[in-house]
Amino acid sequence: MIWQLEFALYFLILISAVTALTLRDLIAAIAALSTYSFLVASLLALMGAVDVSLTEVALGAGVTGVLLVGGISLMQRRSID
Amino acid sequence: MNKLALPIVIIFAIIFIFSTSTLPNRADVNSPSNLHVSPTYIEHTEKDIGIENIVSAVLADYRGYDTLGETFVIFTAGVAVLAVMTRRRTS
Amino acid sequence: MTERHESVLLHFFVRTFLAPFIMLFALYVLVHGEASPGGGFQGGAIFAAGVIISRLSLGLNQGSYSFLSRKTLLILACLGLGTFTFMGIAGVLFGGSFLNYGVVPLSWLDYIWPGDLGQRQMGIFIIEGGIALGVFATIILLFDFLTFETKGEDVP
Repeated sequence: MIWQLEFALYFLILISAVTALTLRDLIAAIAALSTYSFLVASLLALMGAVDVSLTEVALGAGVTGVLLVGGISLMQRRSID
Repeated sequence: MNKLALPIVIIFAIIFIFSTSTLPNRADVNSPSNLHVSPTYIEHTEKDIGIENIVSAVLADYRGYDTLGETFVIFTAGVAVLAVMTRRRTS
Repeated sequence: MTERHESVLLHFFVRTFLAPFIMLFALYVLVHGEASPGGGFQGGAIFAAGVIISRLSLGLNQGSYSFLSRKTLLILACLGLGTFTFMGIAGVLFGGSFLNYGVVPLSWLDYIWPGDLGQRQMGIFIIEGGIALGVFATIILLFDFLTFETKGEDVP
């Protein structure tokens, strides 16, 4: 286990999560959320849980982003608060 | 953002970090789950089920009820979205 | 907001070079799930992603798609779940407990699809197919209904 790689992954996960929370543009927030999900999936793959990682990268990073973009196309693009 | 949110998050982060320090290390061979749970599945999967992937065997056969419920949850989500969005078209 | 145009070139490239390989990978994940990481859930989700990407390249404001209409998708989702539940009940009917595939006589399937699979592996294979079909149809159904036509209004 390369601990430097894992530490960098934790750091990037934290940055992408905070970015997804603070962005006003919801499409950009969805992109940050997909990045977060992909980084979590790579962390899980690094830990050896390949099945969970495959599910996370298929559902969390792929389908959820598409579904959220589809939902936002029905409403306002910018967040109010 | 609410000003109260940041201290609450910091307090919970400190609690969680302190509580994780008492958990066993990752991939520790002497942790309770690796002492008798994992070896049971590793030994019996080949004989009971006959497929190589232990995760698939647990998901599909040992814990089949769980997977059935999970699939029903996904299907219920689809039916709920269908009901809501179909209502929107007629009004 | 800019108008949305249909891009014929994008649709051609996606449906020729991108979607078939995603679907092929999904079938590999589904069929080879007993020996390598994967299974019904992941295979169905990746297959749905292959269909969704070819629908996205058409544009979001399509009213209904000719390939796999909504009624067909609902029937497919019910069929997948029905396969799983029926395999569970078949275990009861043949004298075992619920979701016990080992007692279901499925060895005649070896004449149709030769292989050295036992009854239990054949049952697991069938329910993985059912899960994949249900998840696939449900995800595309969610996508179709969430990208409902917005009647050409601009989204600010």
